[in-house]
Amino acid sequence: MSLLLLVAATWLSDQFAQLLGSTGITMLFLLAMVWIAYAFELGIALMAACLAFAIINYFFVEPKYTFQVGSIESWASLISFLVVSVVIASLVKRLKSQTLLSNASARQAEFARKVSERLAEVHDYSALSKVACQQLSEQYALTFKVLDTTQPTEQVVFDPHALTWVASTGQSMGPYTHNWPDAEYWLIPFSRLPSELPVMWVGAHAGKSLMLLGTKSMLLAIQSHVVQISQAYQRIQSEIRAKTAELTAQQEAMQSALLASISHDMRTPLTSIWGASTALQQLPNVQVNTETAHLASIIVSQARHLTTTTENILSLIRLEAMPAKDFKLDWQSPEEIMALVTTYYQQRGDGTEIQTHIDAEDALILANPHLLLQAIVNLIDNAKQVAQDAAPIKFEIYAREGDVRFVVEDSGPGFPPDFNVSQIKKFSTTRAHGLGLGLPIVQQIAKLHDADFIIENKVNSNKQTGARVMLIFKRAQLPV
Amino acid sequence: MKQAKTSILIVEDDAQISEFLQLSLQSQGYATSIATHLHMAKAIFFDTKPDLVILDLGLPDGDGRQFIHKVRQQSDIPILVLSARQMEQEKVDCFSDGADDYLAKPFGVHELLARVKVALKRSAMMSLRDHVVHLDALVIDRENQVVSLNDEVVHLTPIELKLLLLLARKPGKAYSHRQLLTEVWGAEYVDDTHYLRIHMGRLRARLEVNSATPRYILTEAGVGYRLASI
Repeated sequence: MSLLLLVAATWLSDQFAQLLGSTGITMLFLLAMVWIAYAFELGIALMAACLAFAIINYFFVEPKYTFQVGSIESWASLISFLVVSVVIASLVKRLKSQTLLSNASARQAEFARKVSERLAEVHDYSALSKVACQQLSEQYALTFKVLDTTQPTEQVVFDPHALTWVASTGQSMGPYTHNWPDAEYWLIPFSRLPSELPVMWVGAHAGKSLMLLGTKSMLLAIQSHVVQISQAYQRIQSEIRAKTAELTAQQEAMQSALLASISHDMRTPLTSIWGASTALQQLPNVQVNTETAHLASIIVSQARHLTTTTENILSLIRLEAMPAKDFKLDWQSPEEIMALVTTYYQQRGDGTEIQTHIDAEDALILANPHLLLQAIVNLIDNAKQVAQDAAPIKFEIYAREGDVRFVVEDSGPGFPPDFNVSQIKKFSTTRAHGLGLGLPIVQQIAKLHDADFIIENKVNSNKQTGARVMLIFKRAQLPV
Repeated sequence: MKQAKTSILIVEDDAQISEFLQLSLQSQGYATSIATHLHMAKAIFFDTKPDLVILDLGLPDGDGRQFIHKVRQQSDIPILVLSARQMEQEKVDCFSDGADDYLAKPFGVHELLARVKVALKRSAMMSLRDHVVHLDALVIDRENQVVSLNDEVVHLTPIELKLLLLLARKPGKAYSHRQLLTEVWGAEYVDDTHYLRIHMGRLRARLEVNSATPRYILTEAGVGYRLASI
């Protein structure tokens, strides 16, 4: 084809030699060279340039029909033609290659846009995985799979160690990489930083080899698509988190409203019953009448029991629903906690006798004082119910090197053999009274404080002499 | 006879609760008036100038805290808050607003009457504007900044003295952690409650017979501290 073009240029130059002159003939051949350089490989273009040089010399440079050159000017023209032809051939070739690259980039960008559009429409992980793999598979004629690094599936063949390595380093592996270049698949992480985000597996269709089908530029293009997919994946993650947070907030709001309602509807009548019955006890005519005074004391006692039960139910609901953000810890002095407990029982005035002992000078713990007080009161009330022979309950606090222990001891029958805190269940009790909420509440409070809750029986000379329950808090390190 | 002249305003929207409150208080010789709404409470307060207010926070026409603000603009009388809400922050807010005491519902009348008695006694002491606070064996001379226990001067560190004098400004009133830390250490220390715990512990060690059952410096759980008033 290039030869025909040179023949045509020779013929035209021969026919119109007078009209074109030597400059016009040279330009005509240069035009032919531009076309040849654009249409054919660089080697052919260079050969054509040399041939054109020879044709011009033979047919149009004096003396004609010889390869001799008659003048220095002619030599200069011919050499200039040759140089310009070679340069044009090279430039046109480069231009063509850049055009091709630009077209390829445009196609790549168009494909990336399509992928983005499709990914924007999906709102769950499985749809994302399906759409992304389908799109890439159609584009590159390879197989794509999204692998979950925490629970990898066995649908495709891969080295689990390689998967772990890719996720933990954020680097790709497979052909055209420095990592496992002999592998028959690529593993491309969703994140270039160590993460638990998924990894894209890329391999050839059955019976074909990725080593033959894949190229370095293909790997780079696929890596850029994986970045797109990763962004879509993280968007979905954020959407799911936002939705979960919204649902949690709704649940919390409902729970709060329910709690507030129960709290008001239970506490208000209880306030009337308890308040009115204690007011009744104070009236002079009630105090002198033994039967009426006894009846009033029954109402007071039952109102107090009902109050405790209601408070326990509300506490358990509140504790179980308590979001971590609402749980505020502050520095607490064990001495103050001891004082709160003794003041509580003094104010309650029901004759609970408690033997206290404290050895925790300057020790501090991080705790919520209301919850800790509630836990200790529950333990002491439990102990009081089982205490025998009106023996006092022991409540001790002592600090050790790394912890502060709150210990309640009673002289009751103790817990069943092999009983431990893991067996504590809500609404499960062996006693005639109570709903079995005391210990679950203590357990929940210990959990919220990251404290240990230990139950054990006291044994003296092989004889069980009561029970001991302990809440062990980590001793707080004071900030410098 | 003196008690019969003491008037108490009960601000409570629940008729049954206000009824037994009235009955119990009257049986102890107090004169009572009842307001079921915020606007009624304001009107009665300005008309009768009561000696003490018992205030329920949840009122049909507003929050009882508004009434605390209103009263504190005019008077220093004791305000005892009753609430079924039991929110720690609400308790702190009530004390910050100027409430003197806080009682969670349900409660027994004995406890209420005891608190009323303490609040009135404190109020009477405050009206004397005495610079010397006497609490059994403990004497705090606020003007001369001298503290003595069992007739012996107690040597306190500057911080311990500052803390005690602050509490002694109004015995019986609860001061929040924030108030104490701000006034004694400075505003930048409001979150350093461990300072307070340690210094209060040491102050108790100097003043109390048994720090675990304190007589003078009382802890208001989750709120702060108060100096005993009787």
